[in-house]
Amino acid sequence: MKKDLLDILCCPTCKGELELSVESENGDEVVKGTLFCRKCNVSYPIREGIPELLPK
Amino acid sequence: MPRIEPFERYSREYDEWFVRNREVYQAEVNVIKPLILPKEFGLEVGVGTGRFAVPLNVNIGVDPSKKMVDVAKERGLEVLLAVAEKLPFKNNVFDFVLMVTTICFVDDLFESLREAYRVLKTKGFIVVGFVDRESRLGKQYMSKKEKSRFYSSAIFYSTDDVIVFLKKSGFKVDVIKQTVFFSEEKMVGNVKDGYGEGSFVVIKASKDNVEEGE
Repeated sequence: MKKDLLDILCCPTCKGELELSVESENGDEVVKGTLFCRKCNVSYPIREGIPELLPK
Repeated sequence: MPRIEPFERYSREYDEWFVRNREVYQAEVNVIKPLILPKEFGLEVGVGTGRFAVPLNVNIGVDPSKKMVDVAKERGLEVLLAVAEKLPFKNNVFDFVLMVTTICFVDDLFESLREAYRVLKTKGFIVVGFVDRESRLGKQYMSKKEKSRFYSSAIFYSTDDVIVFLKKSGFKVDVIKQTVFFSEEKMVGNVKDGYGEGSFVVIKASKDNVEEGE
């Protein structure tokens, strides 16, 4: 995912803010990392550049 | 859970449909294209392999099937794994939301439309494309439903059903177009206003929340 996509993303469950942690990147593309919802205490993975935001 | 299993197992077969049925596919793209402007910021819900998002210049796609979004990403789209009933986007973000042959696969159509409504800007609109249950193709799909890899778990809707769902979700129906007609066993892909003749129907409906203002 492109880093600036974070501006419009939210937690699929509580719609709260997500915190991005980048493990690997390629230019402005996040290849591997996580999106964390503090309120739900849930971490959503980013794998092969695709955020996996399926409700848990 | 959304009905993703056949899409995970048969993603290649799914994508080949568009090659084998090029004329129907092209007619479906053609009926939607004039309803959206290239500069508008759009989301496709149920993006699949990106067969509509790419020619229609949609910016972002979501789908619950990993196999499908992997192909869409290869086609250059920004994609996410997500379900229609719980979209991972903030309120008032998109100019339009597109759903093509998606409503038959969602678990909860009302929730899916409410979510589309939520993520749309005040002047935003939804474009829903589907095979009308009452049409020739719809009846054909219904009769072969049990044997179909993709449609065995699908729920088909009539245009009247979809209009009711859209209104219940807060939308105002603006435009209805139809295509995929059959004349002497030949498919005809021209576009007409309204519904009741074509097998593929597209409804454009606006968020129209005047009372909330801007």
